Amino acid sequence: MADSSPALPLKTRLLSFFLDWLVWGYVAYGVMYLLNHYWYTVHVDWYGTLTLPAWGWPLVVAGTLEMAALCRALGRSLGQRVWGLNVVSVSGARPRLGQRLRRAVVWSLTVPVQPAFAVLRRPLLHEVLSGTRLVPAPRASGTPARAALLTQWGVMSVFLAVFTIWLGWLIAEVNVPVLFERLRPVSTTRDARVPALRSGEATTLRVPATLAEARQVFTVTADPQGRVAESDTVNNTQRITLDLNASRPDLVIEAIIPRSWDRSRGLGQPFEVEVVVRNQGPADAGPFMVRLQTGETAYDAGVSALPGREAVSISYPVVLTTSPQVFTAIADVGNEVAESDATNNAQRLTLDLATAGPDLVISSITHSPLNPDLGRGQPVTLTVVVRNQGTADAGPFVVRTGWTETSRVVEMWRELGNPDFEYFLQPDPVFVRRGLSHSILNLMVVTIFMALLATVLGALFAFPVSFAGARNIMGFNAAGWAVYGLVRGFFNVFRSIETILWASVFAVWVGWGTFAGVLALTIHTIAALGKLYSEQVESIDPGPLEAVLAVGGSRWEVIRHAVIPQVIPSFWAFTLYRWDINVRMSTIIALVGGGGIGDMLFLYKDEGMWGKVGAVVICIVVVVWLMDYISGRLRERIT
Amino acid sequence: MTDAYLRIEDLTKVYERGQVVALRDLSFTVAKGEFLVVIGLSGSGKSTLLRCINRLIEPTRGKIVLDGVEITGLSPSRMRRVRRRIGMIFQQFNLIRRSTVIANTLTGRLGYMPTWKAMIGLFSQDDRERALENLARVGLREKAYVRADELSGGQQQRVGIARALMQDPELLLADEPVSALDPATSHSIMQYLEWMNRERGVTVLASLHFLSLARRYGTRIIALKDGQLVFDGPPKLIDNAKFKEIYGEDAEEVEVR
Amino acid sequence: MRDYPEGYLSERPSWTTAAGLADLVSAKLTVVGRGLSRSLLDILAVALLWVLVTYIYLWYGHKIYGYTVIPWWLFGVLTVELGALWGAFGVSPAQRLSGRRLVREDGGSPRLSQRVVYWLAWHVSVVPVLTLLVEPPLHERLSGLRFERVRTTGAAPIPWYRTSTGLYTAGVMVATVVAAIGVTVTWTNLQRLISDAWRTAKFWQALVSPDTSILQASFRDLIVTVFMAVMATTFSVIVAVPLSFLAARNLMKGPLGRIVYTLLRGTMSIVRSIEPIVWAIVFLVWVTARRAPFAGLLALWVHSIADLVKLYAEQLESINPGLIEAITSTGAGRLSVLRYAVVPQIINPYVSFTLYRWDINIRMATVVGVVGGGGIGQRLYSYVSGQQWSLAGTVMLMIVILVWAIDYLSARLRAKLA
Repeated sequence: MADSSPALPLKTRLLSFFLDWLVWGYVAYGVMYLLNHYWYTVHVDWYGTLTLPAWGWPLVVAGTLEMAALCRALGRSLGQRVWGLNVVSVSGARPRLGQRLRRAVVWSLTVPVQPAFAVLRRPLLHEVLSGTRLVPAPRASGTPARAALLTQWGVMSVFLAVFTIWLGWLIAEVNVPVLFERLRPVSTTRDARVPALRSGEATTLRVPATLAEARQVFTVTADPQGRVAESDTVNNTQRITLDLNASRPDLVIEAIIPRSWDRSRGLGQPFEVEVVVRNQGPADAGPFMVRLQTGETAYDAGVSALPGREAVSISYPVVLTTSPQVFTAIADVGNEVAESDATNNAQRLTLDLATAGPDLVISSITHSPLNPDLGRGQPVTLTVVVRNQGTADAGPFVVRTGWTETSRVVEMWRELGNPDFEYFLQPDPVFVRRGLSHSILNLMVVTIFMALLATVLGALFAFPVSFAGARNIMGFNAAGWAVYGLVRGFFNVFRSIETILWASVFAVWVGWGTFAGVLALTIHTIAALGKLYSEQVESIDPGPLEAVLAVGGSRWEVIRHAVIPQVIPSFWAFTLYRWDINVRMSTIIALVGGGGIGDMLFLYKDEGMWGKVGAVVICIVVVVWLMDYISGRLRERIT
Repeated sequence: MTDAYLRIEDLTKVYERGQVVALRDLSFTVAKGEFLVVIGLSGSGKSTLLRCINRLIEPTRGKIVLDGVEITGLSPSRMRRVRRRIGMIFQQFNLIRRSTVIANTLTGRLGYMPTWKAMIGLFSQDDRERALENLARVGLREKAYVRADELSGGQQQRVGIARALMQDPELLLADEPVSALDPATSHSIMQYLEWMNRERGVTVLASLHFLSLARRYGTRIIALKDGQLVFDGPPKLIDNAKFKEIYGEDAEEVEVR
Repeated sequence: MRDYPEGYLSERPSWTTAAGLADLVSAKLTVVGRGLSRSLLDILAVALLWVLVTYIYLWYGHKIYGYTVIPWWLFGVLTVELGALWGAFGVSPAQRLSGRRLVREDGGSPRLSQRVVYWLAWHVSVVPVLTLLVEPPLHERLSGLRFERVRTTGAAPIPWYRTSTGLYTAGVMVATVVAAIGVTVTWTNLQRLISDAWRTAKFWQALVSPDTSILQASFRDLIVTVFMAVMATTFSVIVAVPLSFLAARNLMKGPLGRIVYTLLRGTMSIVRSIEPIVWAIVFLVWVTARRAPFAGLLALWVHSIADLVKLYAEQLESINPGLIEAITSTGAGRLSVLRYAVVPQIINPYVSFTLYRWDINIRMATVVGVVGGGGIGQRLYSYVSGQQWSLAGTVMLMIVILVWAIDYLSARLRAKLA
């Protein structure tokens, strides 16, 4: 059967088929991943699993092959589109559906014998039987192109894009809400259990906590779940503010105790209320007023002074007028004392003639001494006194201590925004102890020198080697080709290994320090510059080459007089470009032991000293930007 | 001559904060149906003049009245409505190089479409037929689905003409339409312009480099020098002295055949 | 044509209009800036040489870092003075860079006395900056000298080693390299380079004979790395495309546009100068190390945005304005002009840049793993730090193959697009 269509190389046919197969293989992988993620596994590991039963693999292979074949027969598949192929009937027209189906079915049945046909250069069986051909598609000129979304390959491309984003979302664990959640303040609570508390008695609890900030509020609540049937449920909370930098008094009402009070005496009875005021702060408090208020009536009493941690007791004669009656005691009503926390000065007591009930209050909170040298994050022990000021015993309950820390992320950004240039000129003592004189300026200079040395060394090595990696210089004989392949292979392999990975190798080899960094930068520079140089040599104008050859020049003379003058300007440009990259790289190479400014950056980062990290980053930005500018200007001048 | 279709009064354009004066108090009128050729040296303000008329360039001062409407003070949206009746073709053709010829031609209808339709490229069937028709008119019917950058210069300029035809222009501005073309192609392009002028009644304002072309096609010629009008009249009135005045003492007239 | 009739917009002197005033100021500033930058450049050149020499002396002599042996204020005075001397009596770097020399008014070579006057007057003219507002500046007037562009036609050029600038440049280059070697290379390190080579033997060996036991697990990491890069690129394109329109000088006109343009370009260039690794550190704190791939993705995302905005905007700045004119002249609206005149011109370069960035992101994704940013890099680094060299070599081999394949693919695709 004569074939009128232009011959299609077997290689193109196979490549385009493999692309289609690959696409379906990818889809199969993705489907398996999604199944695992949404259905099979309860807890998904970060990579998902590819576990298949023994019969699964052949099934997947067969399934993807079949899908690829169907796609190629029934429309214009992606692989066909990429290589510009099209299925047409022998007459050249669009194939009918029957032909297309026949093509797919025959193909599926004859897969095992296909290679034989291909090798014997016979028309392939499925093409013969269906009367169709796979041919290079003619460039559309006379007819309008169909909109991409109406074609198979267009739909497939869109599907693959969406599919990839879906998969990538899961595989890369994209979680946008977490970005915002981590900005919110973090609350921590500690619970302590109290088995029982009899009426009028108190118990002392020790709560370990952390001082997360320089100034932090701790809130202690008795019975937060409301397990105890109290006569007054709104007076269970007390707070204390710890301030690392200031030592202040803090007045609280420790207890309100009704004296000589008897439920049987009814309304109108006169009695006394004893108010205990405690200064739970470490500093002394000056004169202040204590008020007891009930209904419209208020009784004031003065306290001349109250030393830190001490308490004072005041008695007020009162009359019971209603039931239930609320008594509120307020320390420092005139707000005369400069307290660390001015919002925790009130406490209340409810007296009820009808029913007896427990009433839990937090009497006082004191804390272990703070050490300003330890800074934030130091442990602190709170001593909490819980009292049952009610008329009945309380059952088991919980005392909850809670505090709120600013989000670490917010804190980090805030500190990054307040750069600390303390060690810009003056060496950081941390390094001085190790015998190093590391200030930001010193290391910045070292970093620039590292980049410079690596660029100079790299260019010096790459320059001669690059000629051996140029086809037009080496492609004269077999040995030349061998050298060419070797050099290009070296360039490609070494270029693919990032500088920082090189640095980790060299850090073990020659020890941590700048030399390892320089070596890593140099190796990568040689490979990268070598490739650029070689390509430049390959793209030169062959005219001068022929001219030198024509006057009888040797290969060396050709290089010296015809090649080098042509490539020098772009060599300079590439070298400057590389210098720019090396400066950027050298700033971070210390991460794996390469030395340079990164030494400080990563130390400060590990210590969480974000202010200093900010200072280093600013210096890096300035230097990188400056070098970028200089190399850009120089490149402009050269080219 | 009938009454003025386009009237230009004291048109002045100054570039770069007063450093360069492109047009200097230029005044003239154009009657409907004229084929007016603007000649002058490079930098004499020809391109600026044409671009001021459809306000691709904002004039610094002066008045342009088109068909009784003063267009110098129009709001952008009203200006767009005026622009769609003013076709323009360019020296460098200014086609979308990667798009097909018909897609380029269809852009001539953009002024008549709502924006949302334009954004998704939803040209009506009527527009498509007209595009093919106009392409057939300039002899490019069979190239309709070829990419614009595969065409020769002359063919590209014909696509430009087809694009202008899509606008149903009353006025055609041609900014050195043949400067990038060889002489034979130049004449073919000029003949298309002449056809538009004669058969369609389109008023044409063309700027040209060559006096011979101007003489052959123009019904009237104006000459600019340093942004000022130095000649205004029928082609036959340009004699050798006038020519030297326009193009300078050293100039020689070149014939384009 | 500067002589356009008195007041082209209104009949007022030019300095009463805002535009005229801006012209005046910018012209003055240009003059001042030119004179000042010439002097500054010379001073900086002297300072650079000084610092380098003392740096080398202190490093080699005393093994300490130091930049000046004298107090900073004295250093400042001396460099300014030396810079002035150089500018007056020699061919200073600034003169060479600008291609100008001091000549007499009549074009002849200056006499020594004139140079002395020039040098002395320089102090009262340049040091108090304001006097530079006089044009020509005071020191040029008094000495009767001026800067003139050098014409080298006919004369043989002086060899570089006989010019002060040539010697200076060579000196600085040599000193820099010497200082660089002094600071970075130590003798013990050099010895270890030879003696400890065996430590990495297994690593090189693994590059040719990979350890197959970790292939499957590493392959999963490789997939994570690729998807990190893909997602980072996709997300950054979504942000960078609209931003690029705001960062293109030719599209952002008017004062507000200028401000947006400047702010955006400035921010982007700052973000770009911070390596993705540093961003990864920030994001690891932000989203916690439990979501390492996400942190890595975000780091790449931020850096890619900055890079793509720059590339995209530069492409936008180089589009052909003719097509915009053509589409505008058909009466099309602003959006239509964007769709039919701008988009067709930028779509292919944009895709090409995106592919290029994707290629870079794949490399970067392996690097970001080193700080714990997830993917194959994290695995590699854990092997390297544990000195499991054969495993590290195997992973390295996989990275090489991946990077090479992606590099090839993206280069082929870009060649097709161009």
